[in-house]
Amino acid sequence: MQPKNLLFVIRHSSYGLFPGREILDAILAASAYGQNIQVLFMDEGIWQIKSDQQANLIAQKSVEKNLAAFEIYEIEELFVCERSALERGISADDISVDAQWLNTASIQALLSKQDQILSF
Amino acid sequence: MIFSLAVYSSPSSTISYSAWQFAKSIQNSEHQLYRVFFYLEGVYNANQLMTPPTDELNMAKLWKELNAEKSTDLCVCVAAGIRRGVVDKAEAARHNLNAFNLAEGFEIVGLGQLLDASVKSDRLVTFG
Repeated sequence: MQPKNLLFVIRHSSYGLFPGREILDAILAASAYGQNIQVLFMDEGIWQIKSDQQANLIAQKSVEKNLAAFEIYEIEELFVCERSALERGISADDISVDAQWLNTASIQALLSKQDQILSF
Repeated sequence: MIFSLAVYSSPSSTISYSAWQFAKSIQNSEHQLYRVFFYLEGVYNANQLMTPPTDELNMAKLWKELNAEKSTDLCVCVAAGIRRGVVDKAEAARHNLNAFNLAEGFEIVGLGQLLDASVKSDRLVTFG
């Protein structure tokens, strides 16, 4: 079967409604199936990749370790919604992963080439 | 068209009922519902111990009907389930728990089944 283009769209922060590590676990698990995986962080999801998270202060495990595993699992196509980051005062220096910044038009192009979108 | 649903919201959220209504509509149409995958807070939908007042929705029962009518896969992620105390008999034994609570009609599966659903379906619709 031809590999499919799957985009994970992360729109929730790490420690709010859903535990961020479970969202990232889903992406890591998906990487084992030979599909083309890309990840877009937007809206509150931007907070997942904020550097220097002090999750221990709220008795949580930081998601930074899970994010660091992306490279080992060969999940390397990461994207950040520029508008969401700007709205939250987050610049390229504030994020912990190597990601490409996309404007709205580029995000539309990214979405349109996917076979399936997995939204979290 | 083949559909699968991903449910991430708890059964007390109206989002879960929207997912169920959507699932039911697919079953009543010419389309096919391949799988409903419960993850994150969505795993609570499979808790057979939920006992809401009789004039309120019992999501575990509603999902079970869906499975009984058209044998749609109702899949609960094992890791998310164990974290939240939604386990079948085998998982309860593995973790030395003195009870299990997975409702009839549901099965415990790995996260890979979410990917399988997305690859084998024409549309994956997320509720949560």
